[in-house]
Amino acid sequence: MSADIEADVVIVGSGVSGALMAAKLAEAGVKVAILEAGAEVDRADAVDRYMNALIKVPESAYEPTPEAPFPMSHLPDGWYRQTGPDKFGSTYLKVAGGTTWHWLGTCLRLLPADFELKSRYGHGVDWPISYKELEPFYTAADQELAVSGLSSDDLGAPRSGDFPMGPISPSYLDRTLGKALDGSGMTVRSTPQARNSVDHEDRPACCGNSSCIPCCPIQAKYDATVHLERAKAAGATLYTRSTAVRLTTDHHGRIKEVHFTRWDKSSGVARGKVVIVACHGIETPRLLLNSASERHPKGIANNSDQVGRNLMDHPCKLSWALAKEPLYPFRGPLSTSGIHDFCDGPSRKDHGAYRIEIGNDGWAWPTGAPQSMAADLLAKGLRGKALDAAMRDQAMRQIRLTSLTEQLPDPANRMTLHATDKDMYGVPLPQIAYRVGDYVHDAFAAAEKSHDAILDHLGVTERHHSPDHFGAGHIMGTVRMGADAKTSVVDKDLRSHDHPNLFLLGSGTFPTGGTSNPTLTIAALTLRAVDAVKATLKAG
Amino acid sequence: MLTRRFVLTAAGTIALTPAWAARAAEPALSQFMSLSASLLERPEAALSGDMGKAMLSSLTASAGADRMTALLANPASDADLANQIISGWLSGIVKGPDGETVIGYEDALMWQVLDFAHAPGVCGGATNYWADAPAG
Repeated sequence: MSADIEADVVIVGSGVSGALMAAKLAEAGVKVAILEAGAEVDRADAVDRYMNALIKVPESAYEPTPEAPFPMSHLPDGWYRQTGPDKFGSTYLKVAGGTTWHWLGTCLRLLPADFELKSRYGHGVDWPISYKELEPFYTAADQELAVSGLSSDDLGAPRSGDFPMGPISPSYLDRTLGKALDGSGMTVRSTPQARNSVDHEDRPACCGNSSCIPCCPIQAKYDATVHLERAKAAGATLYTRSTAVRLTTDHHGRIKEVHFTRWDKSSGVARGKVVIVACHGIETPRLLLNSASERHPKGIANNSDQVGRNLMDHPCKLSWALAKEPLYPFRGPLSTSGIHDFCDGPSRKDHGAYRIEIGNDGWAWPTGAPQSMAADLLAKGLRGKALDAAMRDQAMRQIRLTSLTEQLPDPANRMTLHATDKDMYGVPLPQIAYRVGDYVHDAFAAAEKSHDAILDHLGVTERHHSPDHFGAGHIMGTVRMGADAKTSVVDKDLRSHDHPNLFLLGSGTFPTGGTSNPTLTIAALTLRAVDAVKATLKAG
Repeated sequence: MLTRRFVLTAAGTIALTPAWAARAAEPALSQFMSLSASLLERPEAALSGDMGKAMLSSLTASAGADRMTALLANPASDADLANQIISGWLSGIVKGPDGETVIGYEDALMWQVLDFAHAPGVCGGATNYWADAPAG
């Protein structure tokens, strides 16, 4: 029986890892088919949808539909079936180009120590790959994603090559804070980011729209449609509105078919010599678990029983304050600098590391400012010109610090299939058991002290600390890589230990999370896996 | 396309002339604009008529036509509703019959008050303008 789609390589998912892999393979002459559950996004419509939205969350610019549902940040129980004890707050999109549509654009490398958490600090596991082995691919990823950065400051991760573009300037707020921290032992460092500091490869330089999340209106910020377009230009075929629902194997244990269902409920079958699943940290394990059969009772790629486990985020501690002097937030990219002094060190024996992101968006994240400010000031009895003056004065002094903390892999933090609730394709909804854990809570306590010290140096008239954790949007660990097939899902080439022609891409493969936003590492690991995919094709 | 003006659409949460608006006996827009200008201590000419119309419909439906008429007759009679009007002009969000609703985005007056900033999604200026304090 002939399949609906025949290709050398079938890639499920069109986010940064799937699109990057597709472009690299197609440009090497490989016949590639990409299945994407969602639709293509019209950028102008997305910006309008965001502006019209009452609740401004990262997903506001996009439309979840019954055909391509996804979680919304303000409705933690809307899509996920959460069993607790804590809420998992991180989300993803189902659209062509994936979650890079609403990512911030931060492009940090993991630190050498992040690959050796177990041997250096006695926690979690070591990666099966060292920083040194991955480094050339980080440098290649900087080029692919078009990262702007300060090449002379490696932020603790030694570099073999320069960024393709000079840095995005730190904001006035960053610079003011940097001066205040002179001599404190803490330093404000320029953040490498996949955002054009000059016109680059047909995309314009950033003009500070300040809406990186949820959508860059001018595509100065990289998103995976860049590589999707490259892949298509090189001959890859993108099938949108096509949700993969099940993988099947042959009697040698090779992946034989990808069964998918279109939005009109018609079903299809895709066949490739190699199958790549690149649906991010929740949908990848969901597809593998839903593919359970007599031959694979625990699901595909799950002889280790690790699929869906070790779910991690970078749980966030927020602090926000009013500085004594104006800082002029609400201008420029949402973050342009960070403080990296707590990303590594012996304290990781006791608690998680953390990186402090400096926000350029005032109190927007914790309080919904400036929209929320009028009602607050009216409640204090202000009206007319006095209200205007107070609003302006406070808004220009707002600062927000966020510590993104390191969370340990815990097999009990787990995505499984819900027993009864299903989507329109009959696939069970993702059920999530999640505990933030002491390693993070102790990191929160240390981070709050650091935030206080920073705010003391700056000089503030008012300060607040979030009592709860916020999600960073970084979904990691659910198909972890490792050298041992008994305790991990993929090897360091991202190949399934159980199925020689199956590769799993994305931050689900991270054994530990460090404190760096995951996208650049996703891209580097993907680029490193390209040769292994090609070799598998050659072997037949 | 660098900027895109906010367009009121009939989709989603926004409706310029929703079905319920026709049923309510709505006080005159001119009176509402004049009251708004007085509450905001701004010239009436500086206020968007479209936004005023959308706000009057939403607030009349959520607060009731009687309350709105009474406020227009005596601006000191209902501080809560007066505050809702002020907040609506500044934030672009007011209470409608089905909860809060967006009546304006770039036109929300907070973006005039925060004269050093701009509404997200709108180009702010030349690359790296954010490195310096705003001029003036």
